[in-house]
Amino acid sequence: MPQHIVRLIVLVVVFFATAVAAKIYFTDESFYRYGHYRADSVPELATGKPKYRGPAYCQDCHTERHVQWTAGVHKVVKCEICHTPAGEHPTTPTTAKLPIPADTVKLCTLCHEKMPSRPATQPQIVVKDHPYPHEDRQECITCHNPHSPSIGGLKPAVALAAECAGCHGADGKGVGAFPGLLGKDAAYLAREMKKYKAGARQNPMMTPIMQALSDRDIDVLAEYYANLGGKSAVAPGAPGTGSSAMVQLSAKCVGCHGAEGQGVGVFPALTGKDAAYLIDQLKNYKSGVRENPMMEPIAKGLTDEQIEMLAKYYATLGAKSAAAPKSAVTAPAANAKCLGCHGAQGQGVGVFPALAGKDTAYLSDQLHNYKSGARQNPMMEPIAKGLTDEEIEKLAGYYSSLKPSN
Amino acid sequence: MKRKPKGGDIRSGRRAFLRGFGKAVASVSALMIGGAGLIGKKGTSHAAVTKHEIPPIPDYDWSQHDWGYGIDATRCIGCLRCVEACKAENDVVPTAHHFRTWVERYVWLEGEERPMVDSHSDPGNIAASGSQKEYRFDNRYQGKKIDKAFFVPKICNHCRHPSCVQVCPTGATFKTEDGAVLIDHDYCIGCQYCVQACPYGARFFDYERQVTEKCTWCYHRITKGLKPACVEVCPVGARIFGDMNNEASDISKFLRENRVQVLKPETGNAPTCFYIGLDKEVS
Repeated sequence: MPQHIVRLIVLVVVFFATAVAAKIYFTDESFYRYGHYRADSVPELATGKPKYRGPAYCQDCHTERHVQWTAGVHKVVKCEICHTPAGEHPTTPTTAKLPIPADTVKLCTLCHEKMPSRPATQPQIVVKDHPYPHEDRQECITCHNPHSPSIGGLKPAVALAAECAGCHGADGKGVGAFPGLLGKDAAYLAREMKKYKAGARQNPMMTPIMQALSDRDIDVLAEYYANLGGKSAVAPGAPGTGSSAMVQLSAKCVGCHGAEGQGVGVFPALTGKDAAYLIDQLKNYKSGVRENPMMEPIAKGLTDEQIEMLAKYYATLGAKSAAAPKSAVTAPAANAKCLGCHGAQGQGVGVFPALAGKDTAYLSDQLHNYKSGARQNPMMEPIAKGLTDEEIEKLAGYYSSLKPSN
Repeated sequence: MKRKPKGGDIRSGRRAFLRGFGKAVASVSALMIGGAGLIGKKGTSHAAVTKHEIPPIPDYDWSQHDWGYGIDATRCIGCLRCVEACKAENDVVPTAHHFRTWVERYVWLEGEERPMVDSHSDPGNIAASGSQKEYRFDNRYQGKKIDKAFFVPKICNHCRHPSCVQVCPTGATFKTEDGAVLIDHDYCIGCQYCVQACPYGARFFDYERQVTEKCTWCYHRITKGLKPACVEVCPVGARIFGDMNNEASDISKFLRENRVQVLKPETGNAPTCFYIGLDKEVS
């Protein structure tokens, strides 16, 4: 064989042998085990901890919330969609607390903003046309419970709350003897409401109202009021010297004693009374030395500092009102039944319409209609039925004489 | 839906022949080169081949499963929770332009022949969300006259005959016994042939790590009995996942009860991602 051919063959064999040896050396041991790939990569890809743990993982600790959530229409929206994946929550510092979405308008409109591409079955709103009953709190969750929102037969929180507003004030701030609901703990409110419902806590007014509500509605209401308080600028009962704090504080008095503390019907005037006298009496109510089923709980809810503030406030108010000419018309005693909802001057509060400046005949007609049942309203009916015809005429005359507020 | 047969007789015969030949040549070359280390390596290289071995994944036998994915486009509300969930679950590159799954919005304006199509990575939608890490569709068609509009979720089709696997020069991407098309990032050299080959645009390139990325059906979840993150979070049940070997699974029910379609059937890729509610312009 010619030498150059032998050389070529040797060269080819060496090259081929080197290539094969290199392939065997560099190829992973598990390559080709199942196919043309590295078999060990499969278990590698299967490791890794899942971050989305599912609602069952949340259920153990957030039991009550889980129960409420599963009963509502939002049960398809799992916890981690809004609260981000749980991961190792609550054991690792990074996920010790999962976020509660702050911008609920942004969050809720992800699914519920009216959009042409969305299926018609999806509940959707035109954001700019959607009513905001609480102008200062433009968050969806103010009215809609995110864990069990309203659809179909279920009432939204804001509609349920309208039934409470009659006595507890438009914002649940509390009126007169009716306690504030605002900012109370949701679990407390729900528990107490359920007690009323079951009859464990007895109250001729609360029991029938609660019995008309489902447990879901009670939970929704409790959260609505707890949430309302949490978002309010001034915490109820917070000590302060500013006038807004004073307004908050005196809100507990104006329901019965009138907006200016001028006294309404059987409720005595506070204005112009000596500050020291007022302090003494409030403290007497607080300690129980002076007994009164309405004043006691209210006074007990006040700190000594707040009592002093109130006393000074009403004492100074008196000095002012003494100089001012007295209102031409004195309010009839039955007025006390109206101002809880319609405002101290009949100016209207929230959903409750203004009475001031309305026509006398109109007002008396409507009250008579409520009384006879010709006009139906679960709140106005019992109130109107408790009025005599004479009282109705007096009230109509009184409110028509008041100036409507602007 | 029968599984395609694994390597035929001819292929395995050829492989066995090449293996034997390789060993013979290697032995010769080892003598010639005198590399003692090479002999030891060669001895163990293919000894582990056994027919019924399964990957060591705890409580999981891949031969028992045949995963399938369903999408009911008529239900999708375009909330994009799936896209965000996928990113969080799999630590996908946190920009709007890298994603393993996405949702397309199709809108036919009145009188227009072709639809307007956009997804979360459209500049208008990025502006609406205000961040590249959160996604939402803007409301650009509000008040316009529209003939037809809908959303279509998209994801890797995990094809029976994946063209991406066919073109991979290193064996970095492959199809598992249980139906998932996966990527071995240790073997990926970043050539991006697979990105070109995929007819569905389901793959993207991670420039930071210099590897190709794609949906794995959350392989770390499905092997633990969980659903992929996108299916887990979908609030309207537009995404369905399950084992096609199990008659009671969501996907088997979905396939039984609906007339399904796949995207681009003409490519012969045979997707295992089945749709209802597609339209002529969707591909």
